[in-house]
Amino acid sequence: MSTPHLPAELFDHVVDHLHDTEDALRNCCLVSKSLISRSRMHLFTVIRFDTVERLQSWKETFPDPQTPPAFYAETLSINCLQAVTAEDAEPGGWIGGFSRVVYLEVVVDDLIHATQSASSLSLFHGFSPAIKSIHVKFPVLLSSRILDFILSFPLLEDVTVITRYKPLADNLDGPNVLPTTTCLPAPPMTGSFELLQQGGTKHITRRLLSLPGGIHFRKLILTWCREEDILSTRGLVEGCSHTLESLHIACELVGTSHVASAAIAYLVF
Amino acid sequence: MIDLSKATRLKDTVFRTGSHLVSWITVALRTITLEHRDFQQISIYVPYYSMLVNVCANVRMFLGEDLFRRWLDLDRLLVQIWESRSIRARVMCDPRVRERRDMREYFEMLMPEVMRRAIVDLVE
Repeated sequence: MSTPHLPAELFDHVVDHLHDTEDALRNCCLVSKSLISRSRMHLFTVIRFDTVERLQSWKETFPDPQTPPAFYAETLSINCLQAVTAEDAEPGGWIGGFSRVVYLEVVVDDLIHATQSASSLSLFHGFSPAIKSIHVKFPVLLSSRILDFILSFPLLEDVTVITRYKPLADNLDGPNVLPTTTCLPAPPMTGSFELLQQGGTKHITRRLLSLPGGIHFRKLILTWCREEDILSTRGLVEGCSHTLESLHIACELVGTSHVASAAIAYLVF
Repeated sequence: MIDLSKATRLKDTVFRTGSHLVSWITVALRTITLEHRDFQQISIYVPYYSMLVNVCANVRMFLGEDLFRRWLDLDRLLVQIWESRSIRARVMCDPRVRERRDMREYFEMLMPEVMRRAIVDLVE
């Protein structure tokens, strides 16, 4: 059967209509070579490494990171950070292939892998200059590590940082430990900033507020887990006062008693 | 205090409070001025007070005079905001409240005036 001579743009347009139908896109890849590129673009827009096995499978299937499909990924979600090795971040490693990612999600749920995963986070520093949105959820993570990571992405607009447990070594994260990336220009940070840190938000807040260009978030979503977080909120609101359009505050001060509320009232007023 | 007076581009606020902390919301909202020309939305998650849910109680007694007064302060402020800017607050509550008693009754105990005037939107 002869192939009808239709413009490539028309085929692309047809494939675009199938963008949310994974089975159909897979079938397109089998139908004709001319459909592969466009189909892959949609198939690999969102990549999720939910398990170690899935990451391993990716590395085996696509050993050359400089060729598609990593190139198509706009969203990268990693839930098995403990499986990432230093080799993965070297030239030729899979991380460098994801250089066009715009949205990055890094989630570590269990405390067992928290320490190892926190070290692996540094392997992703600046891996995609296109990143505009970062979502980091860790059981425990030191503020200095988070900030180093955040500041390595020059176009970053939206930031979410959630840590549900208090760090064991708070003193490692003291005010004198400066991020190693302070010499880089600060990202614009003009979108939303969501912050929940069981260990307190003062360190990360203080460093954000001391960035040369300041912060310009339009939306703040802040959760108070400690009394001191009220002061951080105050600083963030003031720091973003010229741009702030939406403010969400949740109070999760656990076991707040009348006595504690009196102390908080002191801070509030 | 959370001072919103300089954040004049503010359009909406959402507050979710712990059971014994109310006044910080009132204090923050008091810093909204006429300079906040785009301000249009206040949402408040009302905490779960088990005694108010399970018993037809004397609110003042169960919350304590101080906490009850703080709720009334917020209630009055929401009335003022409605009168001066026509902004209807949205109030939400814990799902446990909805399971056990009428949501309207629950809010009436804490914010009687805005409920009497029907100037808040109850959101499920």
